Amino acid sequence: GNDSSSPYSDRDDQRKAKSHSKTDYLKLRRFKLHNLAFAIGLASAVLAEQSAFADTSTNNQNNTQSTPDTNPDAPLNYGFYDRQQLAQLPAEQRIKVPAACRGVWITPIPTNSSQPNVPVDQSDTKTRSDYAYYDPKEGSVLTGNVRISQPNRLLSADKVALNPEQTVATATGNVKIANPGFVTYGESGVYNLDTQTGSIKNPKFIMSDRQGHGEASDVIRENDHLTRIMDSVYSTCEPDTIGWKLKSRKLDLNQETGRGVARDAKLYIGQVPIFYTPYFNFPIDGRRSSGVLIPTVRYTSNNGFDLAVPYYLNLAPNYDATVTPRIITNRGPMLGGEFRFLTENFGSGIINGAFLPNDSKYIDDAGRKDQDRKELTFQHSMVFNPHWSSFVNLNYVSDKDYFSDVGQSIIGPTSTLTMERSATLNYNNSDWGLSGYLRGLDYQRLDDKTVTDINRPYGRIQLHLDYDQGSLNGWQRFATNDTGYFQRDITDGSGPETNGLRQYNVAGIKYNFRDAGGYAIPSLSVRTLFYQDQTDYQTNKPATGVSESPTAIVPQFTFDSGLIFERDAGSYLQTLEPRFFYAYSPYVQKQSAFPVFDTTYASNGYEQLFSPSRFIGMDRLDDNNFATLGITNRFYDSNGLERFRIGVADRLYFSDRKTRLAQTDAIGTSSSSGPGVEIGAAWNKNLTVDSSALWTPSGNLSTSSTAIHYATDSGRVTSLGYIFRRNVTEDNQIASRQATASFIQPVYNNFRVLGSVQYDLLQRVTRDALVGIDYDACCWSIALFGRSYYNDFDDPKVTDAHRSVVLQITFKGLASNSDSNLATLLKQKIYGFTQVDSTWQNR
Amino acid sequence: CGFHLRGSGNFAMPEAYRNLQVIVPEGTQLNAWIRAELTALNVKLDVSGSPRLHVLAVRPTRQELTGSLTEIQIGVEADYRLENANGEAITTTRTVTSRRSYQYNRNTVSISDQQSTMLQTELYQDAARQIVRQVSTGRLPELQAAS
Repeated sequence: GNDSSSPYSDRDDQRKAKSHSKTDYLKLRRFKLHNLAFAIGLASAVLAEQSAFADTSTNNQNNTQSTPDTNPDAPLNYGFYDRQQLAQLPAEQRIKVPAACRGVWITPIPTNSSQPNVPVDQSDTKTRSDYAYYDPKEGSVLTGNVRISQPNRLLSADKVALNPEQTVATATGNVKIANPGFVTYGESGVYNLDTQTGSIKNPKFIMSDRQGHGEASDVIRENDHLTRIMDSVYSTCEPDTIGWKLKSRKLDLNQETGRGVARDAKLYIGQVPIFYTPYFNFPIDGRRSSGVLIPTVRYTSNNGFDLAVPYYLNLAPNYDATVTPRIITNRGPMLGGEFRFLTENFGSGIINGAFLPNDSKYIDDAGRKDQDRKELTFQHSMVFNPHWSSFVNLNYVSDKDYFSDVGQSIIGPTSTLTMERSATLNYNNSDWGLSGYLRGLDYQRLDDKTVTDINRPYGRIQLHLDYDQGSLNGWQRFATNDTGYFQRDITDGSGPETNGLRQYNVAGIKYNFRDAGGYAIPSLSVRTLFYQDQTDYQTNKPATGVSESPTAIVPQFTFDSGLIFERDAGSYLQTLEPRFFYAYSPYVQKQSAFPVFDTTYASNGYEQLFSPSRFIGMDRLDDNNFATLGITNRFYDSNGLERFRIGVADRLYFSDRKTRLAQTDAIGTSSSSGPGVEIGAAWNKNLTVDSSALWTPSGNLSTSSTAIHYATDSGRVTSLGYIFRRNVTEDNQIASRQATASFIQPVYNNFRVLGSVQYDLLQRVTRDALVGIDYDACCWSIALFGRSYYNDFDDPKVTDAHRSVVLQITFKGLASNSDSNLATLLKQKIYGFTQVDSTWQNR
Repeated sequence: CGFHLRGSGNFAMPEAYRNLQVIVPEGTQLNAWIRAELTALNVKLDVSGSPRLHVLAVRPTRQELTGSLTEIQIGVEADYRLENANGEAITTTRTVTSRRSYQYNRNTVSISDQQSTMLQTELYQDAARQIVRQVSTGRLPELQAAS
């Protein structure tokens, strides 16, 4: 064999040795491999959002150790691999190929390396080469497939020469330096271990984590903390495709200060530069880095051409900012900013603001021109300990049209008529079954025309406590206390100004009997309601007989029960599930004269037939004496999927419903609710139909809704919906008829067409229509959408539809991973979009 | 006509799942409801070494129509699978969905939208019922033994 310390080895012996054994180990204790690798790795990592030096501490010791850092004979696989080439690689090195890509960039040591991270001076260094030459006077030379490795670190070259002092290493020919998820390679490199300086000529690099890769003319390590990269190019695109790249002339990385400075950085699409910044100061320690986020280009009928380029500033590990300069041709320049912070002892928060001076297009309600448009929000949350936490939410906006005119979100329409200002202190102790909050809440009022004062929300200080102890399969004790002071100014004469204190209490006990064959749940509670009323009766005289401190005490009993019968029906399992629900609570006080601080009627629906609460909110205690009878029939297939369901129910009233929100509201006198039906069908895993309908006691259709949804694994979606509601005074239901349709249709390769429409059949108007295309090109994507819509409070008879065209280009690896505005919009408009989109990305 | 009370015939919980460990992401009522439904079927919970009913993800959904008088649809989607005691999947991942729709009048409702809060319990109970029902049929598609 070869003695590594032998001063000379005969060439023929070496050839023999080479043919017999390829692994010669040589220990070079002083060779600090990581310094050079670290310097170069750092230099390129800053261009990506995530450093190549990701924490690899989550190791799976069971993995086979097939990477070249531990196995000197393992091949050095790196570069771009298509799907077929990838399949040939060891499992550990394979990376999932995104749907829109042909392949992926990989590195010799995978990102999720199975090796532990050991400090460089505590790691054994293994060296192998075809030839080793050692001369104490002239230095050492390793030639032929040289590899110097430590776990998670690797240097490979055709030849590595060390001076006699083992302080300067010169690597030549196919030099490669690798870390987990990172490799840099070039023709030659020099490194001085004493001064920790060195350079590598014409290096290229790959970071598999973000699929980043690129090249530079020089990487120079100036001293132990300063690294300089000259003429770097960075991209995440596949080879031989039109993509984007980021070029910078000079990049200085200072490890001592933890800052980096880029000079003359340009973003190119293909060969065309589209963005330039002369100077750019950023941190190099964190995993995030500064850069351009998804720019948005849109054209709207209202604003004209509108370009926003958000710029992310990674200021420190615990705070960052995004600045968004924006040009709106019809209005002028606008500047938005967001600042996020995270502290050790004082919680975390976000400050968000935007400013558009002298908006020439806007005329406010008072007829003033050239007003400034602005917004400011502050959100802060803090966890004191496992039980206590707090949340502060403050919002300001200059005018009611702000969001629809110049809001940063393209999602619109925004129906915000009020801006919340609140501070909440939360308590939660699950051991005691206790939770609650103390909250101060008020609103900035934006619109004085659309909503009268009497319909505005109250400001309040509210203490809320919930107690719920016990088991869902046995006894359960529950209690609620809600005490609040409510205040609302009435200046438009739309009603009496009713302010005051309200205290609401519930205490009850419940027994949950649940068994395979059925359930029975009796529940008994007492609810109390007390007001210290301060109505301003100057504007409106009180109703006669109304106390100024009204009080109500109402016990409530409910009994919910059901049975589940089963039978084998061929390959299906059929169930028959009768349900009986009874609710009783007496009518004791004339509550319709009580104040209404936060309460409304519950919306009509099939489930509502089994609910004892007609009201949502705490200002009314229902009077009930009714029983609901229902039966549901289900079919399950051999995979346990519910393929068909039909439920029928009817509610029988034994008394009138005298408790109302207002004295002018109708008293429910019918003896039955009218029947309700609910149907669900899954023809196969792609096509589902959901439908429900309620009838009035007189036999008219009251409510019906139908949704048909078709989705395939290839990313195709079609959704149709129809909602019908009749004016039903007794149920406080307002007429409405809406039809909706949405679709996603893959067209060709990575192209797809998307659209959605909402049509109002009562007003005969298309309230919202959207159509667009998107294209995913692996390292970038583009989406183009047109939309025509009315805002929530627009009257289509008076207002024209808002029209906009939005273009959005995403540079993957440069832009943030968070949802784009368009994705958020589609999620709201196209049912099943989220699921289809993830199928689409991973197909 | 062949109907019989569940649990008294051939369709009780499969023997293999008489003991289960339940793993559900924190922060929703789904965990409590799945446990209540399983307990009703006399399944012993959190027995170490037993198979796992693992809910991998819970996603609330919300869609609104535009207009001052509007319809809001809220929902819950939950992905789950059965795993052996070591956390290796036995069945393919299934998704259950539950949705409710209600009318919302932005013009007169002077409060934040409280109906969705009320419907949460319904949604989670329904999702839990579907999951437990599917598990109890013992007919979930199993993965190939090789994987």
